[in-house]
Amino acid sequence: MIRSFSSIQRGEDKYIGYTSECGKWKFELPFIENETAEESTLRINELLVSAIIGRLSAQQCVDFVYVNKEIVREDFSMNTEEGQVIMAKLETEFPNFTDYRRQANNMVAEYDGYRAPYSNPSLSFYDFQIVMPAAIQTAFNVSYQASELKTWYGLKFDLVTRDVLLKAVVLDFAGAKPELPPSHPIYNNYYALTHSADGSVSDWVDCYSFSTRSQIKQFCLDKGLDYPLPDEEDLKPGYQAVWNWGVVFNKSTLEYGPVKAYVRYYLTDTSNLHSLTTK
Amino acid sequence: MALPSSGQLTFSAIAAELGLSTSPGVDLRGMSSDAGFSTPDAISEFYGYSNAYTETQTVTVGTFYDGTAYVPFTIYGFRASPSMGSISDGTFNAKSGEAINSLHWSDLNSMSFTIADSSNTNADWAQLVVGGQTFTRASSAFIQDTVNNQVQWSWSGITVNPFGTTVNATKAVVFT
Repeated sequence: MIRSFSSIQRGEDKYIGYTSECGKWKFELPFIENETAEESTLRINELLVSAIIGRLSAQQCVDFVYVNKEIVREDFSMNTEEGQVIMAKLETEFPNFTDYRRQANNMVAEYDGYRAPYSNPSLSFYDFQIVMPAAIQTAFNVSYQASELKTWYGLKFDLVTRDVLLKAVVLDFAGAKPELPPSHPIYNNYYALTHSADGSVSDWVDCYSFSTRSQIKQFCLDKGLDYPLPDEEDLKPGYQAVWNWGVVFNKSTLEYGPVKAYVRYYLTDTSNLHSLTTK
Repeated sequence: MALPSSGQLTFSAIAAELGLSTSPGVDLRGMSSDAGFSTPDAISEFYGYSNAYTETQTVTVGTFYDGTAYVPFTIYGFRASPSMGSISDGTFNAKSGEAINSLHWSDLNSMSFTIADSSNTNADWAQLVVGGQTFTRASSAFIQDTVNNQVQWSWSGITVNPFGTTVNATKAVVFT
């Protein structure tokens, strides 16, 4: 997708001007002679991603997860009002599986099984700022090296079957992959593998990309996939950033699954905790 | 470089000294005003004129490791919030005394300089020099950030930390 740029001349210096699709950021990049529009787009994408990710904080928040223009999950920081309710349910339904409250930025969600391998109402738990502990690895019969892992992992608790799944978040996936969104030079694509307690691993792999709307729109267009976000006016206002994207694929068939968008809102008005939720 | 003290002076030469674009056009009153001259206006006022600007900020180096980030990083230099290091005097004269929010290097190999107020433009200074490295404004990526009400100049691919890793060391940052 080729963007519209403006050309800016200041004295002897030339710049490319661009306003982000959300209108929140205006950029000027040094003009490079003979650069193609695609190359300019890539530089804009890289700068936009750096601007978004560099400004994210670990304060209390919710991420709305969109698939095909619908919210499929709402991930709450555990100390938001909604997060506390879900955390209490998690501790009641699956007590002592791990130290859920280990640190304040952990996130929880309650959601319906909207795609394989999730089929039932479930609880989701993400443990941040930690390499997956040995006890979790043992429980799921996996053996990852710390150097392979991001500093967080997830657990999915099926409220019907009582099964627990592990989301192992890894820096790279060594198996075959379909074509995926291009990786940012600093904020690289990363992956998640879903393990069952019986030692099996799901064929469905998540590729996560720190990317831009334009890049993902183009990717979806090229691959015939549903772009996850609704039109701007149908997004709940006040979001901080569309900061992460997920592309699910089947590692055996290389078939694509859904494309996900993570839209972040911060808890800024502590007098109105429910302003975070769409429910 | 100052304008000549005698001989022919052109509008384009004056505009260049002032850092103005001649497209779509410039006028004498506007240029005289930018130079601080009052009416009546005369080209001769610009003989020997120099728009040279320089200021020095002194950074007391601090460091911060952000392990909560999705890609953890360490920064060195000054940042107002969350607090890291300090700066004196911390107001940027090239932008009418705007507060400097940050001036630091990241081990993700980037250098950045941020001041308050997203309405500030990409103009009015040429380069900053720190730790023997020169960062030109013309080679920077510039962001007007209305979310955080600030503007930022940044440089990528900076592999050498111009502030060094010694906490509480002082580093002069010279803007021209």
